[in-house]
Amino acid sequence: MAEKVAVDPQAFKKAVDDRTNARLKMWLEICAHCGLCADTCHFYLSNDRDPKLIPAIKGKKVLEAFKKKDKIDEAFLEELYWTVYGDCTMCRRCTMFCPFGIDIATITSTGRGLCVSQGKVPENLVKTIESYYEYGNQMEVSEEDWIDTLQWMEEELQEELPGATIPIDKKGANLLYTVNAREPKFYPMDISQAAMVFYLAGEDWTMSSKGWDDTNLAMFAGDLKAAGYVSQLVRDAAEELEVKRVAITE
Amino acid sequence: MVHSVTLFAEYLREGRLKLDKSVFGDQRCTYQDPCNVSRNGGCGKDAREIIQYLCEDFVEMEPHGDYNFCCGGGGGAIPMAGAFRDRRIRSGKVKADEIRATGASICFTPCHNCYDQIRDLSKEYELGIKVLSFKEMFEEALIIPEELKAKEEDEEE
Amino acid sequence: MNLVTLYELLRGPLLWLAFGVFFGGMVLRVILFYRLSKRKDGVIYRFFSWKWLWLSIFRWIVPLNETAKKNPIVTLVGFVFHICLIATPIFLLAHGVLWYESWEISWWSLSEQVADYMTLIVIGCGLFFAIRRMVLPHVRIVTTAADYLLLAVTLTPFVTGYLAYHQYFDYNTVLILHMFFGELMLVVIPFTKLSHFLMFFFSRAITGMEFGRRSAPSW
Repeated sequence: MAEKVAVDPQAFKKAVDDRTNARLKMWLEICAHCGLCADTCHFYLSNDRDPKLIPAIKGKKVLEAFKKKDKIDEAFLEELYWTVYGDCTMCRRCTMFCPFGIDIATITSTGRGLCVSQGKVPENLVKTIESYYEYGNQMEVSEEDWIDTLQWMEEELQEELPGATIPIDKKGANLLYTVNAREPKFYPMDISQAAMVFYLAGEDWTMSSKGWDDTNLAMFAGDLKAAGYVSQLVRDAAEELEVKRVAITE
Repeated sequence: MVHSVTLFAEYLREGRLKLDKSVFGDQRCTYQDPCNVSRNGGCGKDAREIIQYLCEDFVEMEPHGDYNFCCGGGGGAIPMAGAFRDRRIRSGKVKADEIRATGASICFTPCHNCYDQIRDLSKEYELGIKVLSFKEMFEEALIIPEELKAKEEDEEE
Repeated sequence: MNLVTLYELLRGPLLWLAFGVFFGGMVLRVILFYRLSKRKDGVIYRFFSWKWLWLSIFRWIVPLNETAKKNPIVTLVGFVFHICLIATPIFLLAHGVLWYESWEISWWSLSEQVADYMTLIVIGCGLFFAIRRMVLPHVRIVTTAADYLLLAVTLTPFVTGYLAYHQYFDYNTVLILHMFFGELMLVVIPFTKLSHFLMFFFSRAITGMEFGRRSAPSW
């Protein structure tokens, strides 16, 4: 559970003002409440067609937040929180079926941003954001552990393919391969499998000792500042190593 | 920026990688389009191209490609865990039904969120499906030239 | 105030006012949206693409999309409603006469019989939408009082127009009501969801480009 935080109306109002843009204003105004989005949503369909879960309802909740500004209270914040984090995965399917093309994912993400202003973010996402700042990845993998994992995977791979390597920080390589931090943590074999593919394909590739996590949970959390920082990590790594392409893992 | 799926499709197209289709010959496969790879990433076609090299008995979920349903694990839902887990599993019912309808025994997906979610769905909804990434499938099916393989006699331990 | 002065008022200054608020309001809102977007919606301009803009609009201005396939009845009613809603007042003979009297301009007009049917179609489709709002749980739950009110604002000019043409009730009173409700509708359009008559194009264009840059269709 997220920690209990008292409401800060001024910060909420500021977040609303910061997040107000032309698209959002337009979308929140023109939604015709036609309900055609209902059966495009897996939340609605999976929960016995519960009308409370149609995409337009989620948009409406964020619209309420925009109207309330500094008039919000704890009860409303709680509702908003569960709607934007618990009832939408921002998959964008409903947008394809909306006659106006209203982008509920963007609206949800904005709603999450408003929650961020109140420190009301799922605890586990907060942990990953802290980890990005401290370790440069979402899983608190230290640089030492990372390099160890790569070397261990290289050894494993070489038992089968003696010529295969996992290059680290190779300047000017054609390809920088980045991974999901879940890989070194839970699925290290993913790394040796990728190395095997690159070796057999004759790719000139490298891994980076820094900025190697291509996930961005800060973005999903709705924390734009942190999200910008996280994506900059990989960009820096790519520039530092002067690679031509950056590949992201499956 | 290039997604692995596009990169792997390139390697296969250019003949830099060779796959042995018969490895998964008798097993029916299906593919979960991750929202952020297909609809929001534009890699749906590349994935289909890889699949052609990879399996003989392939069945699509309906709907698929750009029109796929989210598995329920996206948008940070997997790492949120805690009190959100229950909602996540429930919201995956649509996907579980789709997978069951394909009659497949392997579902592959190039996304860690989909991967973890479908594994959970398989348990909770008793789908009995094996979830694999493309890399995992490659590991089984890649044809490795003899000269690159480790020699058996050198391998004595 | 008697009916004649009321008529003169609605035919003269208030009509000007209504058109002024309608056109002025829409233009002003578009300008404000544009200026805000320049500041806060960089993504629109970074990935601007005429191709996806037109495709996205085209696929929905004619029913060439998955939603139309999945919901044939709503789509049919929706299209017929919007076509009749826009065409009837513009091509109505009686309105044409007024334009000619004031400005000596004229254009093609519908036969009175056809216009009469089209008016009934608008009212019928409107009732269909109202009933749909009440009956379907997933539509009912997003419906607000404003939705019914705006539907009423849209339909009253047609209902009163129909009554006036057939001279049911007191013609003069009905005519004045017709003019009043027509002008009321024009006035509220820029400030309510009815602005979608224009914003539809912007919204479709933006989403079309956003999906297009990921080579996915938005239809």
